[in-house]
Parts: sequence; structure tokens; C-alpha cells
Amino acid sequence: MTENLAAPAKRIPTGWIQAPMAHEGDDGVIISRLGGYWVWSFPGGLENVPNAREILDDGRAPDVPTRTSCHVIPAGREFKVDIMSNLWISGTADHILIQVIGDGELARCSLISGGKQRRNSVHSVRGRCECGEPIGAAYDLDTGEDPAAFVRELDQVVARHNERHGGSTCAACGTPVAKAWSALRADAGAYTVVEDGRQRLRRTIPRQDTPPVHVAASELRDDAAALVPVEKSEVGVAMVDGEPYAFRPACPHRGGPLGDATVKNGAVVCPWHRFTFDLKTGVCRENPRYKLWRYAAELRDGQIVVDASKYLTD
Amino acid sequence: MIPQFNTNEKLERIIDDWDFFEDKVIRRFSTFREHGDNVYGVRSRSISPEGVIVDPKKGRVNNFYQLGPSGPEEVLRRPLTPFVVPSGNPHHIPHDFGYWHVNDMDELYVHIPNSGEGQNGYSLVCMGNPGSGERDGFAWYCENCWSLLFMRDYTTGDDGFTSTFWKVERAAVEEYNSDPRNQYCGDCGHVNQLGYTWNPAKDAPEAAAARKVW
Repeated sequence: MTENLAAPAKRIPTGWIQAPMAHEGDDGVIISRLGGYWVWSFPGGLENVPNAREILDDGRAPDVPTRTSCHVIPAGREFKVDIMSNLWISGTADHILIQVIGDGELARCSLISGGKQRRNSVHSVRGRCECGEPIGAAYDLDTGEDPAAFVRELDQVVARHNERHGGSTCAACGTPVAKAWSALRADAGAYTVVEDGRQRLRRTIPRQDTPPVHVAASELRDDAAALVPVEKSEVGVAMVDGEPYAFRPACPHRGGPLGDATVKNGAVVCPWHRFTFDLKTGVCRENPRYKLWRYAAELRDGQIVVDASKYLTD
Repeated sequence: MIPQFNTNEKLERIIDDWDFFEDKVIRRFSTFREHGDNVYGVRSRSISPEGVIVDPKKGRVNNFYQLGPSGPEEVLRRPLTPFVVPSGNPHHIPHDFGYWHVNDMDELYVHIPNSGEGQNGYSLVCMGNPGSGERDGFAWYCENCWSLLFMRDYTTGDDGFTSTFWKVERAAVEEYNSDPRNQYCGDCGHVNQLGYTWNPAKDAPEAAAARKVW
């Protein structure tokens, strides 16, 4: 079969959408954020295939078999992976444990958490004795979307746990409580994400008392809109046939960025899905149920005056 | 735990403890299936260490494109390297599905290479289970100037994935293919290829021909 995509495709920078399952030369577990998912990357090498356990509803805590497998640990279920930490972790998101074992040499393991957007918001962490008895209380780490914040808070929990329970014994079996530790760290570069459309839709609503702003008409190009800051928000401005138009710079479809979008045939073109919005009417030419929010704009002495406090409703 | 599952039990009762790479389990996820936070698809595929993915019915399906502001961008798919298609990004896999899929949820892909001679690898796709108002879209863009030609979407979060999604997908493809005006780009005059669905078993002859091309 052949590829027939007419324009040559370019390779995209993948730093923020890819993360390896395993890494070399480091014994820590690195968490990278990929959109709504976190990828927990383990050290490579057969000697590093972790022993993972989870606590089932009936209280049993069996090992996850060491073979190539893919296994979902449901949200709320406690699990422990022994090269990650000796604390037990549960999350408000599902975790997917993928292990790859081959030829006695290749060993890759990864834990993937998340799914629905922003579902990594809480992880609960607690110590347990080998007999299963809880050691102290569980700590809820309200970590939002940032793996680095999660790692920082987990390190604090480790220190607190050792401070409170160091030197004590298990109430159930009398075994000395093991010192808590964590080998988790965050990938400093991998969780920078582009703003998502929903954030942009929220951010681009100017206040009703926003004062008019002035933009030099000579600064505008014929074939592109311009993004203009307006107090804590921003508006898009474009010229068509010498007439100025101002609009909310977020596509009503999914929030795509319209602030510096292409202007073609009297319409602004969303760079995400190519919906085109007629600047005179605001109506989407491909799907009229989507309508661009427009603001009052006029040309005065070479200046475009935008009044973002006034929506055009026709 | 994992090796002891019994397929006579109801899926929902035991799915939590299934290994998605077990042969019997993969069949259950041969299309897509909702479970917990995610919708999963798991396939057994020939995947070379270099990332060449071969579908027994569709051929080589390892090229992966996202549509960026200036046209298509190829994502280099590497085995053992999970990658995400961020929500809202149109994406297309030539010969696999003949449209640009737009998902309100992130999609995460993991490819595990063949473990040895005659042993297939695994391809795991997982996407967030959509909530109310969240949608999937099926879109066609001009392959010359990348203007939007035609789009249909489906509120997956409200109407459910398992039973209806593929009917909507088929209806969108058939509607796009049914009128030559849909393939004609009003902006540049280019005439574009027909679409085809994800499932090749029901390809009409013209859709099967389009599948071979793009």
C-alpha cells in the first residue's frame, strides 16, 4: 500500500507527547505527564523488573505475575511496586501496569495513570507492614496535574512517616517498622502541555466594564488576525475589505486559538479543525450551529477601536 | 489472580483482574470497550522493533498523522514509547480508517514489539471514557490545502460508545462518500479521495479502493 498525503508531512516535536516505558542508567522511577495521562517509567533491565502487588477487595495482596502483561489497577485500589516505593499508593484514576519480558534480556515496565482529564488530582499513600497491617494514617496528596508536585509531597510524606513511626513495631505482628522510601521523581521537561481549548474558552471572556482598546490598523495583515490584550483577557481583531472586526479568540467548536488565525475569503479559519467563521455574521460556514462571539469595532483615524464590553448579537 | 480468570463468568465481575494481553481477553477488546476511566482497544499485531506495524487485513498501518496548523504532521511511533494524541487533535492512520478522527478525550497508544519469531506483539489504545457532552468527530480535509470539507460528530459521552459509535462512524463515511460535492474542495478545486470505515469487512468496492490509497 502507498501513502498519498499530498503535502509532505513533517515530524512533530514529540517531547511533550511521548515518554519511554523505561530508561537506562538511573534507578529511579520517572513520571512524565502526557496530556491527561501520567507515564511512570521504570529503569530498564531484567534485574529491575519490579515486584508489584495490589490489595484486592477481599484483603489478599497477590503478586502481579512477572511476564509480559497489561493489567488495570482500578481507581481506589491500593498497590505497591517495590522498586518505586515501599509505601502503598492508590489513586482517583485507574493505573495500567504494563510489563514486557523477552529473551531473558529485554525488560520494560511502565505504569500509566489517568484517562479522563485532570483525574490525577489525588493519590493516597500509606505505610503497611509486610503482614498487611496499616502503619499510621493514609495521606492524601492533592497534587493537581503536576507530577513534580506529587513527587515533592510524597517525599514529605516519607519524611513524616519515618519521623512518626521510625523505631516502632507493628501492632499486629511485632515486626520493626521498615523505613519508608521513594524512588519517584518527575521528568522536568515532559509535562509542559499546550493550553487546552476549554481553558481558552474560560479565559477569553472579557469583563463587562472593559474599557475600549485601540489598535493601529497598519499593524494588521490582510491574511491573518491579531491577538490584542484587553485587561485580563484578549480579543481577536481582523480587517476585511477595509472594515475592522473584533471577536473572541477561541473557536466555539472546541476552543481552538483564533487570535492569530488565518483570514481567508472574509472568514477567520480555526487552525485546529479548519472551521471557518464569517467575520461579518460570526456564523460558521461548515456548521451554522457554531457562532463566533463578536464585539463592537470601528475605524477612527487609522486606529481600530474595540469595545469588548459590547457583544454583537445580530 | 490473573491466570485464574474464568471466561464463563460475567465480564464485569472479573475484568478488573484480567491481563489485557491474554489471547482470550484481547478478543473482548478487538474493537473498543469501556472500562473504568478509559475506553480500551487491544490488538495482537506484528510489530517490528523498528516500529513497522502490520495489520493482517489492512497491511502496513504504522504511519500516523496529526493535523497541525500548517498541515499534516507525522508522529514517529516507536515501540515501548507511549504517546498521546491530545484531545481535539485530528488524526489519521492511512489504510486503517479513512477519515480524520477528532476525539474530545486524549488518546494514548502503546506498542509492544514481537517477542520472537512468529510471535506477535501488542498494540494498546486507551482513551478517556467521555463524560456528558464530550464527543467524537469524523472529518475530511482537502489533501491539497487542508480546508475542512465535511464533518460529522457524535456525543459519545451521552449516547454511549459500545453499541452506537460504529454505526455513526459508518453513517458519516457513507454520507461523505454519497455526494461528490463533499470531496470537492471549494477553496482550491482539488478532488479528494473517498472515505472508508475502520472495519474493512464491510468496505464497499469504492471504499476498499480508497483504503489502498490513503
